[in-house]
Amino acid sequence: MNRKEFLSRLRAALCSLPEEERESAVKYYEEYFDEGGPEREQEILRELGSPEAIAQGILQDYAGNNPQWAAIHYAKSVPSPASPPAKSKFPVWGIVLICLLLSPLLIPLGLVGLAIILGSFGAIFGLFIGCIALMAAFAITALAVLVAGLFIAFSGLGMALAAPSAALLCVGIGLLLIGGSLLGIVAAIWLIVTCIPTLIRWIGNLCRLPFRKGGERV
Amino acid sequence: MALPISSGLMDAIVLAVVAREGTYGYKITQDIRRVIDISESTLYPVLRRLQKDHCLETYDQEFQGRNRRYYRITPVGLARLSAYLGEWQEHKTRIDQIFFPHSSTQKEEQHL
Repeated sequence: MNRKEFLSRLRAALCSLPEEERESAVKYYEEYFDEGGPEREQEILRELGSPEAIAQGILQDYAGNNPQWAAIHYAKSVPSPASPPAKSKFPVWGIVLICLLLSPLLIPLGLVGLAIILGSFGAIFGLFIGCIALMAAFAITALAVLVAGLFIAFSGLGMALAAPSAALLCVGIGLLLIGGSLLGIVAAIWLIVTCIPTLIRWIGNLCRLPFRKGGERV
Repeated sequence: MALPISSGLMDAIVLAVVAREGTYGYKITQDIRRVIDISESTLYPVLRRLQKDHCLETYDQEFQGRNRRYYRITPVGLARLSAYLGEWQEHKTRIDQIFFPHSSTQKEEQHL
């Protein structure tokens, strides 16, 4: 953009002002560019920013001091902090009518959407139950191995006098099984204590996702 | 921290700068920007408003073959400026009581 474009856009954006006001503003910025000289022209353009934005500032200030002018020329289309957002002009009955007409299409679509949502929830829940079942199975297996290990170890001890080498073998295997199962039990307990709360939190977040439009964090 | 400048304060700043000597828009902006960071577009609405309120008047002077619009302060403007200065002094004293309690300047100002 160059200064000529800036000034003409400024003049255009101020068209609702009385002529004297508009010309005074344009003249001010014209002189401003003159003072800065051609060397500063681009820098000034950068600093000033958009001529429309500057015009807004000027219009706003003028409207503040000239209520009669403002009532006619200002504020209707310009967003101000106090006024509520304009309601859509589309009539409500029009929307209702369209929905009725489209209902043969909308109802099946709606049902499909509902089915997908319910299905997803079912899937998530199913996976959750699956995870729990897996962890339970793991724990039970560990317990079973522990019992087996104990049994084998004691059987081995029982054989100690009759068949010492076989006894040693059994006790050894039994101890291995006991050790492994104890590790397994510790792991299972850790899994249950850590993973289940995390899983529940994930599912909770997933469910709340459609209701949280960008902002909150747990 | 960038302290925002209320429009009243901005008026006072502009009046104070113009009161020193008749001056033109570009120079007023640069003088103020030496001390406070304001946008180059901030000044025009303020000048215009002060002019409409008869606090400033304009006169044109030729400079290097082109026109320059000067602003000078009026008696009304001077009155408004001194009112602002009083308010500013009061405001500054009050805030200083919170920021710099028990300072000697506070005692000085209480005598004014």
